Amino acid sequence: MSEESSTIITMIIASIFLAALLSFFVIAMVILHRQRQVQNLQKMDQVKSEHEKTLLNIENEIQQETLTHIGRELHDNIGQLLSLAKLNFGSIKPEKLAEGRDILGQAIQEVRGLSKQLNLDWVESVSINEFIKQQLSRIQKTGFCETSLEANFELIDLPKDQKLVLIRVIQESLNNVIKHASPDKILIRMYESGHKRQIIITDYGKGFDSSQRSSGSGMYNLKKRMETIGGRFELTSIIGKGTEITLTLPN
Amino acid sequence: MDSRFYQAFGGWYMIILDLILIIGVFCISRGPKDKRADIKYWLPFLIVLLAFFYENLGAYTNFNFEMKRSVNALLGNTKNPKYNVWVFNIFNQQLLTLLILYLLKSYLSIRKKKIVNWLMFFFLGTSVFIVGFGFEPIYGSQPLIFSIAAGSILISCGLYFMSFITDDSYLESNPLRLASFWQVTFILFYHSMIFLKTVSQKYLWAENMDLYKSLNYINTILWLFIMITMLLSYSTDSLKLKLEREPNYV
Repeated sequence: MSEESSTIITMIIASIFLAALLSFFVIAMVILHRQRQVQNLQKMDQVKSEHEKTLLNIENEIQQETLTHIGRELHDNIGQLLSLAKLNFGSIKPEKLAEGRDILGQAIQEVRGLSKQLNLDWVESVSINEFIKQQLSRIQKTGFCETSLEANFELIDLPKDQKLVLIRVIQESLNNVIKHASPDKILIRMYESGHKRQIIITDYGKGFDSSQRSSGSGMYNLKKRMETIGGRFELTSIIGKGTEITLTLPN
Repeated sequence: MDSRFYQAFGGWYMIILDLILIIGVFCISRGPKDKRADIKYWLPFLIVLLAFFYENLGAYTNFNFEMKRSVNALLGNTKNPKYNVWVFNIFNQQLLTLLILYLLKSYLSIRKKKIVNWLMFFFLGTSVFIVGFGFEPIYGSQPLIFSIAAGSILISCGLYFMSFITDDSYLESNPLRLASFWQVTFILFYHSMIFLKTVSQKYLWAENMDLYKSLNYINTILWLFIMITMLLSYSTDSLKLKLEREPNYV
């Protein structure tokens, strides 16, 4: 074979090799892209199932909390009302009988109110503002501490799953305040500026060193839960001055 | 009309290129008006329009020898008045390279856009320097500028494929239904072949003209494929093609 034809064959082979190499490169890119898509899909499924699991847990917790509340109400409030009514009906005095009927009516009202809380439909009908007001008035009624709510917007347009998470986070944050902070006052502020909406729960209680890592998983869970709905959970606390929890809502 | 006219304008390559432009104009006129402001819509059309213009200008210079000779003289080439390589140098090698780089830039994220910006400045700067100082005159073969242009385009193609497998914006897309994917693939093939051709040009000219012509033929076909993929960008709606929208970077 002459030198010229061997060079030409080399060139042809080089061209074919280059074309094959480029084809391989492009095909490899497409395959890598497809693999990434599959991985992303799996990740999305995982996130979705975790989100569903969190929601289920939250629903259970809210129901449990509601049942505890109902149990307490039945014992402390309705039980007392019915006992009082029984006493009044035992009397022959007509004014006592009338009083007994009033008390019975009051007990019926309370039972109706409680029965509405047994399923989670109330979550859809109540706004976050109303829920916070209810929670704060419940705390205040016990004489535990002063409470107040300041809001410059009404939070009603949240989807049910986000509302459930938010309700549970607020509930749990208030439970923590009651359990650990011994505050003089609890202040909740809800404010909206531009696209940013925040709920700030401030207690003027014992406080703690928030730079120290907590041994429990409570705060971590609350943070995680806010993240599952695309929100943020931040906590700052100073010993002796109190604790502030900032819940940033998803846009 | 004499036979020289048919020789200049009647080749299969010219006819296909003319057809691509005619279909493009038809699609643009019937396409949605709101898309016309989108760079990914009008830039491919501009590229086809420029290719149509310089190819026809090149053909015309072959038809009108007097014009070719006077432009060559104006550029300082009195030795070879038959050459019309200046048309290719100015419009393909300089302008079209910049437009292709600009199109590739539009498919990239902000960080990668900056790299392509630098490549464009580098290419423009070196081209002006090389031509300005007479290292490679505008009327002659320009292998150095050719290599820089092809290199810049190949790097930009690489950046596109990197984005493709790393950026989340492409996660929802099916690559086979993206006009940009086919554009970049054919641009990559074309410019790689250009490299090979440039490296072996002198040898093949002297030793095997047939093989050189074959390489040119392959390049011409690849170039037409690039033009067809450009057409896809702005004819999706008019021709009711099932192509996906290009991902947008904020």
